[in-house]
Amino acid sequence: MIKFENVRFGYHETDVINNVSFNIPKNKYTCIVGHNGSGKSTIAKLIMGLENCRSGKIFVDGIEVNDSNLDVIREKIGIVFQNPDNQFIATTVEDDIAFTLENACVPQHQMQKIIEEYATKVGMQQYLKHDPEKLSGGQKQRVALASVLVGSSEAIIFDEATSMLDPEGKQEINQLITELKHNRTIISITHDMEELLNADYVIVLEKGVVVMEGTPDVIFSDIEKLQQLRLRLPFVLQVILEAKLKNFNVNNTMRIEEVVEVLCRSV
Amino acid sequence: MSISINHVSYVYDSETELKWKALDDINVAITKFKMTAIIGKTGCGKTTLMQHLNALLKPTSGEVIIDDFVLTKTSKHHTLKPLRKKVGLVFQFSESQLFEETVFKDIAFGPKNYGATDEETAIKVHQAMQLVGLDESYIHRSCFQLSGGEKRRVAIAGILALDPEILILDEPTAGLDPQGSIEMMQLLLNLKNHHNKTIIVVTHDNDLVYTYFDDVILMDQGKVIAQNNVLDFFEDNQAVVLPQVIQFKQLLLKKGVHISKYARTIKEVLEEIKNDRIR
Repeated sequence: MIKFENVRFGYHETDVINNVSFNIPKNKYTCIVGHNGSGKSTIAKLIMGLENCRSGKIFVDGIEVNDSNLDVIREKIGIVFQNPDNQFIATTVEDDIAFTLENACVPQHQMQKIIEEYATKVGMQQYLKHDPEKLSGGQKQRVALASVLVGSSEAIIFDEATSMLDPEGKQEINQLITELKHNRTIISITHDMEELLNADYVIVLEKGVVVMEGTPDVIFSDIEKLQQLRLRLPFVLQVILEAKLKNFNVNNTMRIEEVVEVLCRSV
Repeated sequence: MSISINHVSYVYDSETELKWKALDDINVAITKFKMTAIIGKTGCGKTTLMQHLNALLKPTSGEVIIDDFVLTKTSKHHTLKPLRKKVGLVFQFSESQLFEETVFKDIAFGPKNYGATDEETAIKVHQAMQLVGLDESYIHRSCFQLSGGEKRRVAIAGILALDPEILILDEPTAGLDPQGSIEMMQLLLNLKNHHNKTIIVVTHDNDLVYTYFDDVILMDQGKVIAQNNVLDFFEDNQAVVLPQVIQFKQLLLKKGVHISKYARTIKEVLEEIKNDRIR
């Protein structure tokens, strides 16, 4: 769905993205992880054409991204930014969601029903008349999500889009994202290593370079490398590592129940 | 000397049809010199509550007492300065409020505003940078070329330069990578343990709360619905998503292995199992 070919990008002399190539599969759930400053968010900006690469090519659904076709690209791809303050357009929640619908030329009489449906999906149905500016950080993220979901984009980029949600909200939204992947391409830029367990494909960035790439199984089989990269391991792997250090006889697994089983048998 | 919030309610847009009660008769005392987490679902009033602690908002009714300062609806604007100096507030995405060209100038803005001389200001800036772990090489760098985590440190240093006794932070780890989050927690622990600061943090990360904090306040729909020390709070609270270590302990318990409430890291849990085995 989205293809990077030897892409370079930087501000001033330094390269933020250094000769990056990858292929994000269609209708799958891809996570891009890395530290602050690894270039993750820049990838999103490049895909959306908010920044132009210095060299290399970026293709969205086979179309090369350039200044002349940004409208086509942005119709295909929606984005939810990390800080939702940057993407509100209207002064009420319902108008903000409606803006996307207006752009998609949805007839007026159908709008209200769709707005309510999507506001409900993100749990904001009681706030339709509220000013997005006056909502809490997490509520803003929900509204921003609804405004993007309501569109017909084939792919959606989430740039740390659940970073300000409470744990319950995070579970809800992650569930919603998982449901979406059946008919849309999902790209999640995240720090949440637990989220990777649900992904189909993972790209790990470090200092503007792709350092790991593959299914979660492949990524998590190389614990040493993840540690070198100073990435926090998912909880179950942290337990396994610590248990091995203490000479418990545990095998590598992604299921915490199996680890618990072994630990209990040893008592 | 204490921090207490007595019968505080706050109504947004009280003059309009959209008025809604963000805080509803809050009564809570916060222990000084500890790290207290305020948790709860999005929109429960956490941020609104903390904005009362340095008079960014004034209660619609009730009073906020911080040591000898009493904040009420009628508190006059010019009386608030001592409170604002005592209580430093670090906003959500605090890095977005940096505005000066260099790290030094940004951190110096506060002390200068409170009338410090150039010499005093320079000392305060250096001290604050040390506290947040920014070395001298940062001093003349542009804020806008720093990473998100570094910018956030600059923003916190800007508040620390005013030498507040109480430091309040709204989601200080949102958007930081795991390593950055841990460093942020260690920074706050250091401020509490070695510089006698009272730390109050609004957060969603129950794993961090469990590992690093002393006390927890749980809010829901504008009310405080629970308050306890962190060990007991998570041990018997079904109202929140439990920290991963607690979930792990509960799985063990189901299989008949009891872990004490004092074990709050994976390491400590496994040590208890190991000791059991030896016994």
